[in-house]
Amino acid sequence: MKDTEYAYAVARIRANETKLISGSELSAVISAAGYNECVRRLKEKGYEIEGSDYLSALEKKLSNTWELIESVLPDRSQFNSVLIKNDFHNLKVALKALVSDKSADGLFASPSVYSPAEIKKYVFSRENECLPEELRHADRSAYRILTKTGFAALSDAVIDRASLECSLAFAKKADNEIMLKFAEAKAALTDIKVLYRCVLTGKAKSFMERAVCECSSFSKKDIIEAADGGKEALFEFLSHTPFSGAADALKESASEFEKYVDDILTDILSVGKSEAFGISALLGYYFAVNTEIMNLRIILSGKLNGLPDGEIRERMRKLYV
Amino acid sequence: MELGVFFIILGAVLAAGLPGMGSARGTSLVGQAAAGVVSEDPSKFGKVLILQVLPATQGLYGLLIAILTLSFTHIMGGGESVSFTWQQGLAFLAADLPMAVVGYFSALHQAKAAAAGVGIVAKKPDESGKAITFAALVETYAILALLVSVLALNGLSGTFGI
Repeated sequence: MKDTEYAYAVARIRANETKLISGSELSAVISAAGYNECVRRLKEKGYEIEGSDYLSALEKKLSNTWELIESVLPDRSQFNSVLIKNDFHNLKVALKALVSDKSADGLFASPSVYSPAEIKKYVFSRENECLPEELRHADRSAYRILTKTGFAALSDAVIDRASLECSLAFAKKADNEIMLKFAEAKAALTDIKVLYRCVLTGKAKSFMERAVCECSSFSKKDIIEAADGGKEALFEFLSHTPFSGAADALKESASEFEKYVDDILTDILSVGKSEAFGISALLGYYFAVNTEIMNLRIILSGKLNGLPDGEIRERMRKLYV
Repeated sequence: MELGVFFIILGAVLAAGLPGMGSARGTSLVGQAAAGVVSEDPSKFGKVLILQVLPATQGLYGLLIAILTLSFTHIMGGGESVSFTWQQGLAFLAADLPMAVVGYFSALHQAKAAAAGVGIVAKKPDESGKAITFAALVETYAILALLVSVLALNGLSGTFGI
């Protein structure tokens, strides 16, 4: 697909970018005296928050954003790299509901590439061959693990790895440099997170091999070797990769690492701000709204729980605008 | 029909057709981008319209060259019989080519610059003058091609004593 076919979509997204919360506006929201003052300021930016239930307003903003992007996308499949994560999440939910004999309603994520209802239907009926091709292998493996060993962590790891690999494959197919860099960075950073957790929980090397996906930032074999050698060996390995800051962030805390990941991804997508055509503007805007919502969630829950402004500021993600 | 006349008509068709196609595609591209902005903020219509008009000029330049070609050779107007050798016909065709080729490509590239400028108008309406300047600079090369074609046609009509 030619980048110029995105002319309408990009222009519409650029017009919407002006409605994103800027750094100074975010700072003013943080400085607001109390939760109610925060809500008042956010209402001026179009957030319809009522009382202490801010989550539904934030979710509505996210779903409106997707509706906008979907309405202007010339080809929805170009966004598969981003959306497929929710399909694998839905697969995970359906499998767990099947095995535990509990309801999965309300736990399915959207937007997704495939219908959550279809995924649920075929997982419950064990018609693996009817599932979308990308999900079949993960479904088979995860189901076998859950029913034979009940090892939910391994089942989740297998699905998460398949999700990253599939996202990378879709990004390659989309033929957009920024989208590919985004998917590559996301895969690499998720690998780092998974391995660090493996180190902390003393998981075996065989588990790591099943949980980590191949990416171009480092050799899978080498990083697993490093992680198998312990925390310090993993940090030492990371210092020689493009994600050298990950070690410091992990040493700090898990939430600091999450912030590091989000900031790296924002940096990658920010390059697309100067592109006049192509999908990167849409991807950047979608991620920017996600980041804005994440920041607002941190601020509002912080305000409700009486967290000092300084601590809230430290947790703020880098803004796209 | 003589081969010479055929080449002259072919030159006029290319001069009007190619830049016309380029302008049609160009205004369409900028129009799509402009519609994206106007659907969010109708008050920016005037600013994005200027950008949309920019790649339309090549089509007009092409039409001018086609009219000049047909007029200099007296093909336009009909009536009197015109006669040209194939070499003379080719010379007129060559004179039309700068406008035909440069007109087509400059319209497309100007449209890309103008559509990118629509993004500037969307985010910073006060900077619309800069967006117009970026796109307008591409026009220079269409004007140069127009000039070359006009001079060549003028020279040919003198050379052939038409």
